[in-house]
Amino acid sequence: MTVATQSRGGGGYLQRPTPSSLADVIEIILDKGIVIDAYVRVSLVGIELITIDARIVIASVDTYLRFAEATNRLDLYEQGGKDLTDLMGDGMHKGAKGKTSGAIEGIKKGLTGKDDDDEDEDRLPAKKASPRRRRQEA
Amino acid sequence: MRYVFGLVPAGAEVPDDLVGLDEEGVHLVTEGDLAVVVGGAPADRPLGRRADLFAHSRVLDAFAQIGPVVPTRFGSVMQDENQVLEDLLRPNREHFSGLLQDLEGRAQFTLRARYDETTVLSEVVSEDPEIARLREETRDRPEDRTYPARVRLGELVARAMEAKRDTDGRSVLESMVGHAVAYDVQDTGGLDDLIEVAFLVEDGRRDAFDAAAERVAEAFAGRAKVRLLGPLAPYNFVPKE
Repeated sequence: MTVATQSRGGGGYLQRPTPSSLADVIEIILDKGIVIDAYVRVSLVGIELITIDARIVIASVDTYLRFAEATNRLDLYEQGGKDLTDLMGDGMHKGAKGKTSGAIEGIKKGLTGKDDDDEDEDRLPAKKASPRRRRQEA
Repeated sequence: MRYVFGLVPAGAEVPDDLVGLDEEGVHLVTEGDLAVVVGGAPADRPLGRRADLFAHSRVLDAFAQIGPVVPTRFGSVMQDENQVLEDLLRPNREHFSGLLQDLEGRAQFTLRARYDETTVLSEVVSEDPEIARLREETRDRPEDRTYPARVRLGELVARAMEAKRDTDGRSVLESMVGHAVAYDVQDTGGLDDLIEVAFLVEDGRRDAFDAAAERVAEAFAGRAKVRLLGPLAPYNFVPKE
């Protein structure tokens, strides 16, 4: 695969986020760990829904349309006939990113009611099931 | 009410200033060579605020820095410390000791790789003539007239990304598994997710593991962002039941 890499300076490509984002923490801790038989059942706010949502393999018409939209927004062959390799360099990232990066993030946001890194909410959103996007895992 | 974070060897030192839920202190309930990490639990509200989730992982990951720890599931609350002793610690001593022994000298690292959407979509268009054709056919045309073609385009794109995820995910695993004692691939939901995988890593192999993760991140630079979380408590490597 000939993909031009972005220069990031310093050579550190690996990201090591500390502290982790809320999305990281949810993904890491929920449904994991030993289960205590005798523990007092406490109610948990909206968490189970969020885990379920996060794991749905999204495969609905609605999602397909979003992908089609994202694909159609790509500036691939325009701008004086640059070829793909050129476009995959920095120019494309900077130029097209803002327009196209929204689709998948948008799906996530729709599912969990939040952005990955949002730091504002104090409480996890307890959400309603959204039948259109709730499909069985493949 | 006592919030139960997990199990550690007796005598584990509670890190200074470590606080649990609602900023309450954390301490150990000890019996023999085992201890349970407990803290206060709010009795008057359900758990699940972001601060609760962060507290759970903060406490467990802090203990993971200094020795083995067996996490309990988020939301485990017991009546009081006597119940922790009587109903949790005493009946399960052998089982818990075994779990802790298996985790001695090991910690979890979770690697998450997520595609750069623009880059990978560009690959998808350039690699599949039908996708490119459908894209041309539907671009800049009224949505209601191109609906079936749009659905078809989106479906093909979604599938193509799935195929990429399989291939690239395998490549990530091949680069990493040799440096870990065990690994656990997590189901991921988003189509931009390349892979999420937890590794159990020996303390003595951490540098090699780290270097391998760096190489993976470099290999995918521009196509995917690779993040490494850890050392974490071994959430993925304790029994699920």
